[in-house]
Amino acid sequence: MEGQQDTTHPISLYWTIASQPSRSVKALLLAGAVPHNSVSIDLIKQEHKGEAYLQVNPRGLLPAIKDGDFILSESNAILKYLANTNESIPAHYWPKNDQQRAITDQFLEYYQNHFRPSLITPLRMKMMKTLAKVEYEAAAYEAALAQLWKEVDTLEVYLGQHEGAFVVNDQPTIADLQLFFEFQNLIYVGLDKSWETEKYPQVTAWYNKVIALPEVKGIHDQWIQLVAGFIKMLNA
Amino acid sequence: MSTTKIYGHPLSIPTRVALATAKQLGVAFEFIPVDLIAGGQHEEEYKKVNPNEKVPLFVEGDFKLSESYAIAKYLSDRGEGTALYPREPKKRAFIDMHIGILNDLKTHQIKIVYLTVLDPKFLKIEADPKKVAASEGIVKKVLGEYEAILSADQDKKFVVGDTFTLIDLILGMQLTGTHWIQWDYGKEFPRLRKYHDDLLAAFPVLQEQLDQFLENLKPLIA
Repeated sequence: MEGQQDTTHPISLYWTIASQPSRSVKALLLAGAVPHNSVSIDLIKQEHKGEAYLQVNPRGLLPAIKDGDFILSESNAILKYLANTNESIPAHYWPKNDQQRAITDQFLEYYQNHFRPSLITPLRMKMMKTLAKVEYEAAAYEAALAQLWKEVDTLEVYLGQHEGAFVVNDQPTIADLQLFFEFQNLIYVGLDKSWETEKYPQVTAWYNKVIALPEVKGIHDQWIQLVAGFIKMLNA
Repeated sequence: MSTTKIYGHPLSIPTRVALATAKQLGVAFEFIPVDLIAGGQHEEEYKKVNPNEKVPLFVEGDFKLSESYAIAKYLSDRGEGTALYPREPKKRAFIDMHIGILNDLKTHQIKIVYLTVLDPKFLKIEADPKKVAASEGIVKKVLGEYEAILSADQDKKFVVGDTFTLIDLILGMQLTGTHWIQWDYGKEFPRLRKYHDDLLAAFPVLQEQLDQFLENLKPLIA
């Protein structure tokens, strides 16, 4: 594991920039300038299934955090825990108002149960084909794309239902982070090239607002540089 | 007359999680059935209140909330909060982590029901054995994790700490959902069976939800 855990800071983040939920957690830490150790876990080298990492998270999934002796996995849980325990993280990220908090939570659940599965399937199919030579039928890929666009349609409706450019209100929440970093899967499979702004005015405006956040822009720029070659390979 | 409504289907376990939480906390509500088999969730009127076209949906005046676990958390946490969803940050974080894990269980249990019961029955679509096996694998993996947690202590009644929390309510309801496929999960997961039986005995709301669920299920899979 790169950046072996040291005791400089109480919080260690186990992550990789290739992992979408990892990027959300990193962005939140940056938003609060929360001191932390970054421990990079190499997915390609299967480090997440190795002895050392399984000691940290027996489930072998990323991201995970260690706060002193306290270990936590599941990105939605991590985001909430960090927001609850670090005053430097802007309060708008995890609203204190009961109903605003519940709507934020609704979008976090929606992200995990519906948005992420729909947005990740075409990418996974292309990855299996490129990396493991597992072929897929054209009809299956078309169906996966149709489901992806149906989910984008739903996000367009959600965004149009209230005042404010972000998904809950007029300020970014942790739900925007999760949805945004997952939304980038469109770039992975080349769909950004055929993006129709006129068809998705709300999503376009939302995307531009989220990517303008300094804590998001930095990670986005780093990510896109790192995966440029991979994107070419996936869509060859 | 209550302006609080819960939209859902009597056979939807996520709906039952919302109902169970409301009942456990004594929240008065009107249950509005949505006919999922007839595609009621896709009708314009319903889409307006829930663009995601899913059940359950919680409505209180102008406030609309979807996603069963979000509804359960909202009811358990608003105002002064309740013992179902403790506020101590680390305990809460563990509960949130388990909710993330239980989402995987929920998703794949639902997939198995559609693949092996509903699609063959209503759409005349044969189950794809590969897809069924994939979802079964995940269901058994997650249940195995809870079997291990509970096996660490034979007297342990609850997953997080030693009080009844949302995790027990949700896991209890998910275990009730195994009746869809008439799976005697206790054979493979005896410690979970004991845990579930203890919960049903101690919490009348969970037993009531099970009874109502079975009542609705009988005619469908007879």
